[in-house]
Amino acid sequence: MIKKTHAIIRNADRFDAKELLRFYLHKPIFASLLDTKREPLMPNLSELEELLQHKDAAQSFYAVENKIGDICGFVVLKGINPEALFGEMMLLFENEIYDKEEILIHEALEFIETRAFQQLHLRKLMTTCLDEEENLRNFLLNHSYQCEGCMREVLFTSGKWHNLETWAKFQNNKSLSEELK
Amino acid sequence: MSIITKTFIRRADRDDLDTLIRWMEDEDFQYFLYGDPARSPRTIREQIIGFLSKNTGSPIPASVYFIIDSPEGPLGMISLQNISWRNRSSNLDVYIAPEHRNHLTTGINVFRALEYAFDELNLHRITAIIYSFNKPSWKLLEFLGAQRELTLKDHITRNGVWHDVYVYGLLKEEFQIWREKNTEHTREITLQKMAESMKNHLEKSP
Repeated sequence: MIKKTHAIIRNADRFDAKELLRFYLHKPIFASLLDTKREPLMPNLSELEELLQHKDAAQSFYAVENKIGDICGFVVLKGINPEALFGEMMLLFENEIYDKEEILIHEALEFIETRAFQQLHLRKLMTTCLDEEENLRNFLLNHSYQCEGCMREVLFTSGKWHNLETWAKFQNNKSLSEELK
Repeated sequence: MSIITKTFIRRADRDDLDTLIRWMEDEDFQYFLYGDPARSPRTIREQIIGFLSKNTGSPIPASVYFIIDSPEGPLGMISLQNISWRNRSSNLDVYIAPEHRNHLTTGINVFRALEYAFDELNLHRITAIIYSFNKPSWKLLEFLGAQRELTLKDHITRNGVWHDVYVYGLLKEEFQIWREKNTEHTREITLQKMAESMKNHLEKSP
């Protein structure tokens, strides 16, 4: 368990499955919860319990609590590519947290970046953002993430097509080409 | 001017196993597409058998593997993978054997695969992931109307050098606009013309 100034970050476990399920049921959909075909997953409670019981998942899913012990969201580090040294990050927080307790997300991001860049020595951290996730987009922009582009009309949900942006941050904030300049 | 070709695309089947194994062992296959150079021949074989067994001609396939064939024998492979029926999207991969690399043959058959994706499977979007050093491939996609949507900086290493990865997207309406503009050139190479030619050939054969 990691105690930050405002947040408590710990490995998620099977007892967090209900909280995690809330994010899967959330509308609009979180880009991070789409699968490789960009399709929304629809797990049930027992499947999420099973997922979080699994050692590998438990070590990549972190619950973020506030000081009174309420789970405010999850942060996930997954899809680590040991050859290309990049990983994918999921920031699962509802708009209310961005509005009222953004410091918790900031501390969760700080934690995951330390884990990715300093402990696992990754070069690049990536995440995705749907067009409706304005809070996430602004948050990433304010934390030195750069948009690597936007896949058009990649997801069909709520009766319309949605675009999907990819955001990335390099260790030391610089890609190799920028370092060489 | 209309283009004429003797090449055609057909569904890959078990008889293609040896050809596919030979292609997947080609260094370029791993360099330009994917695959771990350390894979054993048995792993490669099992992987190919796996995708051939799923390549059944189902009306809602999860993926489709085409062989680019000719009277002289197979030239390459085109696949539509990760087909999402919800999002009506798919990933496109193309491999041409080194001795048959030719922009025209590749272009004609990628055009046909796109016709199959948009006109037959009714897909809405095709995605192609191409390494930045594979210029002939991304130039072809751009020629066919696809847009570079993502530039993933320093995303892969090849021989110790970091390279960007480009993600191209082509929407159905963009393909239709491209096709209308190029009707004169594509008239003789469409999927429909190809099927007619194959049918005639079949009727004439003993």
